[in-house]
Amino acid sequence: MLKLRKSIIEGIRNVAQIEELHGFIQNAIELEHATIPVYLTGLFSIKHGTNIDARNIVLSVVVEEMLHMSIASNLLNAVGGKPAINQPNFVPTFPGPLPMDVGEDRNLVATLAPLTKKQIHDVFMAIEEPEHPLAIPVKLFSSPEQAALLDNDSSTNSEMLSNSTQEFSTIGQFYHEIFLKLEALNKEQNIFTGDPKKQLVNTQWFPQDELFAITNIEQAKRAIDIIVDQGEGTSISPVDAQNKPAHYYRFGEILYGKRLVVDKSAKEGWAYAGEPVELDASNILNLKQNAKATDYPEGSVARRYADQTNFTYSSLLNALHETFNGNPANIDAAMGLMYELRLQVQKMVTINLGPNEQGIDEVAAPPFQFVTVNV
Amino acid sequence: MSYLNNVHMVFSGRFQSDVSTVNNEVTHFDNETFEPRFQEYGNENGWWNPCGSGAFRLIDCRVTQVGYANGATTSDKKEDPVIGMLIGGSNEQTSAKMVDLDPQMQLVSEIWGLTMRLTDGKTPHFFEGKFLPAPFRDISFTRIENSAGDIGASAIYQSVLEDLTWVDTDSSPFLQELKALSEKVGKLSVRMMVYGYNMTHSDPEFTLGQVSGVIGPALENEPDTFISGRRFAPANGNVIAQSINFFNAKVNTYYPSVKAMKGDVGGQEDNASELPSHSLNVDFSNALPLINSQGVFANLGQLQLVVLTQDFGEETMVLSPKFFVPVGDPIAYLQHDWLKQTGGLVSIPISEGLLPTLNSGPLALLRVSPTPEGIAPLIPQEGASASLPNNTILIRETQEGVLVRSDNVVHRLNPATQSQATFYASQYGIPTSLDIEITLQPRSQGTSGGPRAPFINHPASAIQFTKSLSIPATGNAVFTFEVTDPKNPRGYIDGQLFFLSYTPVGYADYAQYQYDFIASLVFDTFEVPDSPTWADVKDFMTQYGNLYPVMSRMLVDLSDYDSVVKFRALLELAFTLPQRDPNFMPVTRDLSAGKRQTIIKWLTEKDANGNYVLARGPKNVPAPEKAATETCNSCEIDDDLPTVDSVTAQTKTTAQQSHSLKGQNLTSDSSTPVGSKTVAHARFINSKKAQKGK
Repeated sequence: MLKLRKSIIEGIRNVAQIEELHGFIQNAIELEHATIPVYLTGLFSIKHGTNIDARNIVLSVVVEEMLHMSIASNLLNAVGGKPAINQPNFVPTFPGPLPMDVGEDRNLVATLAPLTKKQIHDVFMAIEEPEHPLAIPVKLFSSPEQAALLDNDSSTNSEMLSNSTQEFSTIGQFYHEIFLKLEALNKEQNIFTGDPKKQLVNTQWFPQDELFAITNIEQAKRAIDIIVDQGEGTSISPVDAQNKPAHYYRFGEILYGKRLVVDKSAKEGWAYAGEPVELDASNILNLKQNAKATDYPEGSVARRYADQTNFTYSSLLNALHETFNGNPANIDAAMGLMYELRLQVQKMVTINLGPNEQGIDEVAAPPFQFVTVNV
Repeated sequence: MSYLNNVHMVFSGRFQSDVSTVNNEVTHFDNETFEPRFQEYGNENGWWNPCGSGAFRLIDCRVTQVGYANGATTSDKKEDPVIGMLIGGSNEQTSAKMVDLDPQMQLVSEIWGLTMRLTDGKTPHFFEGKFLPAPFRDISFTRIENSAGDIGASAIYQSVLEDLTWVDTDSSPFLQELKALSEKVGKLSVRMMVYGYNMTHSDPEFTLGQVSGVIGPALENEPDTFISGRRFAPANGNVIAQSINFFNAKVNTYYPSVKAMKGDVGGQEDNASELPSHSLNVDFSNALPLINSQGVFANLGQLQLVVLTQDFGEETMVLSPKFFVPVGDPIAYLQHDWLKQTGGLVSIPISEGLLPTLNSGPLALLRVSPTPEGIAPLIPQEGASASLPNNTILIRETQEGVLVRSDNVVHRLNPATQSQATFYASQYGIPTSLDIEITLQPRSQGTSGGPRAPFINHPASAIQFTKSLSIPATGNAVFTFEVTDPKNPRGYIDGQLFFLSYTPVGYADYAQYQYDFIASLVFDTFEVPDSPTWADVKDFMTQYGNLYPVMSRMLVDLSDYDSVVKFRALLELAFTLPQRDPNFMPVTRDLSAGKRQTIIKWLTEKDANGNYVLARGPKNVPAPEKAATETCNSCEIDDDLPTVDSVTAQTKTTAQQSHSLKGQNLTSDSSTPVGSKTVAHARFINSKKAQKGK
């Protein structure tokens, strides 16, 4: 489980006015967003029409992160806050820590890198790891490499458990503390004073039972539960209420190369023993890692695409900012920008940069930097 | 007043026009004969950018100069903080789009969905407005004489920015003047001269070009998309021997108090004791030949604007000074970075004394010095020496200073509808009454497809209009025409094109830009079924799937039922947006209202349980399994692609293919001077490349 400094939890506990809680919910929005460039980079590294299962798994998680970002924004609006999405510091620096230094406890470095088992294990699953990961057996290893990774994994787990000190708390706890504070403040007086018109409720893009208006404490609880359950599952099951594996276990399917299925013979009742989930490394593009626009020579086609994707990505954040600041219908403009960004990146990753320092050919990759002008 | 006056802002930078090129060939619209290779890069296939997205973008466009009502200009940031700021597209919407009218009319391509803003990168916009879609005008295919680039063309986009919003103009004297002038009408006038477009797939600058922009006030009773003023016109209606193109000038009036400046319409002096001042403003940006795509002008010698006191024609030499009155100083067009700094604009103060002369005689551009060394003689005629005599009229104003143009060039019309075009008429820049004749152009085959192309401009019965229009003394009149179902005369492609020409009555020598016309795409009638099925939409959706691989091979294959169903919500959104939204589908804006309603109905119909029906067809037979979409090679950015196969191929590519600065069709229209110039130019470029061993 990624953890954050206990001081943040204490900060939430010390909140006396709802306004003081706004910053913490803003942090939640930033955290949910921060994972998106990481996962998208993995997704874009998959060659067109290949690794379909792996692609669908990563895509499904990205979409849920977008949902979580929207839920957190609805929550902030519900209690009279103003989501700030169009800021340079809204976007993490890659490689680097996640917002609130989440994962500092285990030196997590979020990176923009191609989809490899190592990236899934070291970054994707590290980001999504539940507080107490279920020890789900992997049946029928297809390679010793996978077995080795699992071994590492268990060692990490045990190390983690022992590392569970007073200094750090979990993301689940973070959300839980936010909820407790909302509940406490709401008992004193109604804190759901935000304009309901600011709530994003758009059944075109998300099901109504996942993205709904938050106008009272019950809805706030339901909303927070969705974020936590979809991300981490529950302490007793790897699947969420819709029977979908939580993100951590979904990524596990790619890592272990098997679908997660019910297995009564396993202690936890589940095993990675279903249909194969292939990750064919020969169909993964070697995207330049943690690229910045300035890493590409001025005047090169890669630089133009880097600058353009940065501008489109930033326009998308601007559009989302407007969406969550009084104009929910603007989500449609944001959707248009998402697809424009996707098409640009699909072309960008065909730019061969030649061999890197290790002598391996690299292709261009989007930097995900916030810019204000198209230059 | 428009952008062409003393109060203006110049910006320079680059533009991107990522047009797709599979649709450059009208025969590619035929689903029956469409071949997969038409989606691949290459001559006779999908041409030079089959995977284009249609995006139009402004990139790194910086304000280089501003001008004030008193005629002063500055390029110094300390004097006006807008210097160095950027004019950009929207930073919260998808890119604008470049849109052809039709594969058989690729010479009135419009910019749709463009929002323009002034920003310093911190304040998102000091002003922002929406560009009224407008086609390029006054295209010249022989603009860059000695370019190593692929395209030597340039053209002008002129339109207005609507729905203006202003934020904080306090710090800029220029913005205060501009805002004060624009407040009443709520629009700004904008000109973008685009040139130096790069069509070489393997070049980092591929699909990019240069833009020289100007923004100024827009006043009431003015056309939105051209200058109602003084027009310099090549006598042959095309381009003079030394590649000087059509260009425009305007006499402007300013009143003593800047805030009271009313321009030239309905102005009232605030202070009657002071006289108004005047300027002649001339736009050379699209006029004079360039030697490269950096905007450096060819040396044509010393050029001087004059008013002719007698009616001499273009190419007149050794003109005695008694027959002209000089206006202003020689044009400074050879100064370093003149185009980038000034936008090619010249402002000349006009005294009260000169005004009557200016308002009653034709303007001309005179070469007053001998031909510079190394420049070809202007007119190789008998007895002329290599060094041309002084005082040669290079180009002059239209016959008797007459100008008549329509503000509304492009029309996309559903059957049984009316449309309107506003005509403006003036003489020596002053509104005038004028009769014009309007005629339907003869049957022809348009700008692509060669001899296989369907005929356009028929049946004539599908467009009804009066053949003459009297413009009253106010200088403008609305022309209304009606269209009916053309009944699918082109077969595999919807609707029909109708081009209406217009000419002023009584001016036999009136020189007119070839595409000053009214171009209408009239859709076929399409009955919307009560319960549409995939069978009802499949044909036209397949056409889009064929023509736009950027969508069909990278996102949603519109010819494939399952793919369309998967993206149902996104398609519903795109097909229901307002036409001016940059996300509007189809990008090409060539879907009739009937077909649009049908697809929307099909996409949105729900059953009793609230589930989308998405009916397959009368028998609900599942479609045959389609192979997974293959990687789109043509979308890949590959510097190993061959650029030019042969002289012929290159000629055809340049000549036939379209983008913002399109080439004329070679086969169907090879008799036009523009087309032949393009061919000659392409051959020249190709021979250069061959020399370089490319």
